[in-house]
Amino acid sequence: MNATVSMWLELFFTICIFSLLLYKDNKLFRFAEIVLVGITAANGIVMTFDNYIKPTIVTDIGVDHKFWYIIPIIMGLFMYTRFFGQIGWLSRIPMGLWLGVGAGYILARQPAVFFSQIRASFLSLNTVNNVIFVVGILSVIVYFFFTVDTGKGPLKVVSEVGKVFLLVTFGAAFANTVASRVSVLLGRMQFILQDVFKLGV
Amino acid sequence: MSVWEKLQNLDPRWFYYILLIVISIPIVKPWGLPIKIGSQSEAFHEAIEALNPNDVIFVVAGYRTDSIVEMDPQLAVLFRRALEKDVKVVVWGAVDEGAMVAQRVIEPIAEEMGAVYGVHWINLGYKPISDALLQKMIDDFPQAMAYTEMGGGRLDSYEITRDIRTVTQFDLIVCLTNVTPSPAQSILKMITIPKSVPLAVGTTAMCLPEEMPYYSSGHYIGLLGGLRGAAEYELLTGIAGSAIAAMDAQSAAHFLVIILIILGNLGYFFSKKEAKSR
Repeated sequence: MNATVSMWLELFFTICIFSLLLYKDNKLFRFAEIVLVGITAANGIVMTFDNYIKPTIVTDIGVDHKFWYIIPIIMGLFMYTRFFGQIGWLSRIPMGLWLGVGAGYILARQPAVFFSQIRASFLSLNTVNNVIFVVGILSVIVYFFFTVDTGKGPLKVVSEVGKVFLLVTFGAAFANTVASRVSVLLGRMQFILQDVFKLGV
Repeated sequence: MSVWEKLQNLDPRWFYYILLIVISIPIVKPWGLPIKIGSQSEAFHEAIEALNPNDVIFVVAGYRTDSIVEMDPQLAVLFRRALEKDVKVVVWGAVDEGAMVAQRVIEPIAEEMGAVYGVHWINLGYKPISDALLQKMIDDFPQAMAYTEMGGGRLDSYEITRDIRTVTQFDLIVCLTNVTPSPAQSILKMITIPKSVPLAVGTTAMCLPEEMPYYSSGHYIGLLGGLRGAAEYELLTGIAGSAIAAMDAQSAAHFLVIILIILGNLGYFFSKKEAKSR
């Protein structure tokens, strides 16, 4: 597509989306929203088929004659039987297989990540950062004790400390979300001011 | 109605108008505020600098158009630095838009630097990430990648991918991600820990808290966080890009948000106090 046409289209849709915040809900915003959803879905389907499904079928079945690969294809198609009442139960077969394989991978691979995370928390308490780190881990774990009463005695104090650590974490996560969202707005403003109107270039 | 109550009931659109103005000023006229480089970005930089000419890195494009502002500058500077060092780059789109958003960043850079497609870099296109696919990458990389690159050309017809049989042959995996579940964590679980392939990660500010524990525990050998991380990496490599230019506007917006949060809390405090005294 011509670069100029592409730029003006981008500007038009940016303004359509901004119109919700700067004005109110309106038809332009709805139009842009629908176009976005449609294009995203179409892109996902085309890319999956063109980049993955088609070349796999062409090479594995067409060239290498691995005809047994048709079985997983049929199993995959079973997922769509849920839209046809009476044979809907067939969709449970690939779903069961999928869950089984997923659970298998998690059981086989996740403990290594989990245990190495635990190992990484064994720190020498020779710096303030390390002390805060270890206190944070222990107090938050205590906060999530559900089998003993953490509402009284020394456990309550530790649990309250854990709550403070959690609140600080939520605050940090919120601040990072703000930073990310500001970046998105910033990108659009850079596009409008610098790319379209050539200001501050 | 008191001033505080009026502020509490102000139309939120005013905040957007103010934010737009505050962001626009430094974009048009940058201030050049100083940028401090963090240890995570330094570690990321060191991981790339440790590579030798003709090493091959596997860049996972695990982000979509909603985060191009933060992720594109990271990819751009990484790709440019890799080509400068004669390091070859294999790109894989782990999410549906990943390969295409990466292509629009790296293709012009490759053209500008005279890098040849299939020799110095290649884009393998979109292959949906899953644990099974990552396992397949270890067992049979070409089959996992459906034997083809983005344009449909066969992997065995390109110099860069001809001899790659397993993902463990790559000297470094760099995962640029902003999706949940994180492709980086899947790669860590399926490839990095069992097969000891080093992994460096770039992510958005929003996803940073999710990835940070894996950097702290030493699983990731480097971590770029958001636009700030991209700006730090641009500074470290000396490659000027869009991230440094955007940092003034980002700082201005953060300053405004801090002021608004303080005003909001003061408003809440004084309105309650006034209501009590009434």
